[in-house]
Amino acid sequence: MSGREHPDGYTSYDGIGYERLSLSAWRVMVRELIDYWELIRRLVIRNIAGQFRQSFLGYIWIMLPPIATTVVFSVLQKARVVNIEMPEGSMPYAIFALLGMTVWGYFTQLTMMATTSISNAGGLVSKIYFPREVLVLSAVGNAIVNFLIRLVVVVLTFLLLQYAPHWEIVYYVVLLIPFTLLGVGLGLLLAPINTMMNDVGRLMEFAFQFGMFLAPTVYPTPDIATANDTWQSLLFWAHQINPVSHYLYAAHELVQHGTLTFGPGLQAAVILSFLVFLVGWRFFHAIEPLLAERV
Amino acid sequence: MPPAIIVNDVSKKFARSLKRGMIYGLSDMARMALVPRRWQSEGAEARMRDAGNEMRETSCGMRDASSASTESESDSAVPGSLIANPGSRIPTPASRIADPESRISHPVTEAQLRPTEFWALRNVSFTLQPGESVGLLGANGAGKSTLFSVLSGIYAPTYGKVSYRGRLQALIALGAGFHPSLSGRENLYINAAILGLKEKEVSAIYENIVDFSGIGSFIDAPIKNYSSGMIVRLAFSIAVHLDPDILLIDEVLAVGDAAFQLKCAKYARELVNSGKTIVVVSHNMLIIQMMCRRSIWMDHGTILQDGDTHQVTRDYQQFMLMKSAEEKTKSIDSGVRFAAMILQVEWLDAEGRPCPKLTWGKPHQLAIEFEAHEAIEQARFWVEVSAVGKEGLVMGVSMYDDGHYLDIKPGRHRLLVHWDHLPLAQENLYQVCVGVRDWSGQIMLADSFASRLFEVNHHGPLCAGEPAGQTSRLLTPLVAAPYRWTANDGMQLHAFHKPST
Repeated sequence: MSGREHPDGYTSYDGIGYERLSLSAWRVMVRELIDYWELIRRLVIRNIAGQFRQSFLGYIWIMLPPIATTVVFSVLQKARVVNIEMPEGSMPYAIFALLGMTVWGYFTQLTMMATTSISNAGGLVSKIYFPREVLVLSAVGNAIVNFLIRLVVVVLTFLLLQYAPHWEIVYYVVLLIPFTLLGVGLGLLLAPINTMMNDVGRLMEFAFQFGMFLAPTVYPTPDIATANDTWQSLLFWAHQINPVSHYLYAAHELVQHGTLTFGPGLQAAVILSFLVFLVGWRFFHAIEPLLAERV
Repeated sequence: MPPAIIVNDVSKKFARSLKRGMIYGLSDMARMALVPRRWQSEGAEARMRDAGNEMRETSCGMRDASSASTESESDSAVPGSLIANPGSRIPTPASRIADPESRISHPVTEAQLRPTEFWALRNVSFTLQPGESVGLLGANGAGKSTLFSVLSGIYAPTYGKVSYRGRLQALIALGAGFHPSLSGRENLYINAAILGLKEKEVSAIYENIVDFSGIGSFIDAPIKNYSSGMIVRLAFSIAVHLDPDILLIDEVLAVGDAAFQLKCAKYARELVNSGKTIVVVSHNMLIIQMMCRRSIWMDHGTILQDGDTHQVTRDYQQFMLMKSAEEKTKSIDSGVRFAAMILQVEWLDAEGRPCPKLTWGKPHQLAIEFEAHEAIEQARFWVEVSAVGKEGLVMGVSMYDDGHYLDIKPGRHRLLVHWDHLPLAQENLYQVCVGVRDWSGQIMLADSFASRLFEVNHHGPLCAGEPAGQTSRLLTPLVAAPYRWTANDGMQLHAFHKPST
């Protein structure tokens, strides 16, 4: 529970619980997470089951967006409307774009669903008490499930195009942990603010929509060594400062070469991810008591 | 036994304006997340100290003002309008401060509020013991639901502290978290999980929940096909089967059908008997009286009265009736002007003296004073007596039934209704309503007048020789009690046939 449970059996809530700001709050936070694991699981199942109960195509709707983007960009590429130069010996463009869209889409959905989770559950939040992290984490759970469903498309594409990725791709699971935590941390930071100003959610949606084109999703990062004008180097740096890019690079590299260069970019991205998560969780826990009256 | 709930000097503020609330919320969040606790509490305490001094002064002022107003009220109270002044029973703020149990450490003031903010709860304190069932009364916006939300941990109090022992279950929003597309069974599991139950525990009580709800085979149908009553029944069944030590019930019993309400009331009584604590919010005094021995009356975020349910509900109802009467008077002032106006209705004894308390079976008169603004022909009066908290009329006399009518000259008049044996039995609170219409009953000649509440003693035996303590208690008189009208000189009372009574 949010209140302190005292040894004498009392649970108490006091003025804007300052104990939430103390160091021992970490213990409470972990405790709550363990206690409410069951509820998170149930909510994830509920949302997935409820999502497509009245839909004919069901889970196809989850698979469609990355497929559509990939097909469109492949057609544009073939028709030479866009001229995306893939490096020598690179994977087929369709696979490159699909990988990029799947990973980017995962991050987008994860962050968006986490950000809007509290405001979407307003009725529940203002009426029943439970740790609000539960809502954010169950949204994350749904995003993970959607990601798994989309992975099926990726695997099918590999089979269809008879492209064999290096088996080392399974190591990507390890990288997915900080990657996911980055999205969760952002969600935990933004969800409370979004309860009051849903501009935040819209802003994020906008940022993700256009950010897609400023990240190595449907085209590879220009090579800084051969960059011949400022625009190309500008784009290069835009990719470099985006932590998501480094997770994308890693996915591409693992699929294509079966190796992982843990360079400074990726190191920074991983450290940043953990930091964002810890700060976000702490922030969320501290202001949790204010959420109910603001949704 | 240690208390089940301790509410210690709880205050809570909200903002009325959405935009400002947003800004306050953001700044509150930023302050909580960024400013270290040390600095926050220093500033806050200094502010509270200042505010505290201010409050003590204002509260003294308030005490003087309120005691003055109660005195003037009792002076102006018309003798013979029967009930003792209810204001005298309401503890003044000063007496609450003096109460050692509810020490006010963070007195709230308007000065502490930012623009558009208001206090939804102000220095609320009380303690509930295990096995106690308490009713929470108050007009809309008195702070009852806010108090429930604070108790169940949804809202953090601005100041003060609430503590409770054991599992607390709030029946505030039944069915919150139900997904319309999922079946009742699926929703049952999710809802129980939201309320803090493990899957195994739910499976163990699953059958009981479904049985209690009476939903039967509908349990596998999607929730959206349920009637609203079924949803509430399912949700209520889940909530009560969580074996709470403290149950907060917020006007939810009103939704189910009569059979289900009865089942709920019975269940609540069992809980109380087994040492659980129940707090009930309801506007239905019958439910409160049935379920609770103690009641707390809240108004504008403060506790006005805390005590025996019988006493509190009576004062509360008196207060609400007076308030509605005031509003009525206001609307008359601004609205339609009738041919006459009823000024006062009062009970007299046989000799015509104002009578503070009526006695069953004794001779009594009801005096209706009114002013005719013009000459009125063929006016017909009716008098209705109703008992507080009971449906329907207890007694009614009417010139439409007994065939009388009045021709009235302009001016002030006094119409009397005599009873040789007042047929109002049982000690109860009653109210008289008097109205007057034209011959056909279609045109109102004066706004109907509702008297203040009055009480009836039941001293005498119903039949000769029967001991007073053993008379059966009647609410509605079973015998026709003769009465007669008497008019003063300015009126002429006609009867076009002999009264049947």
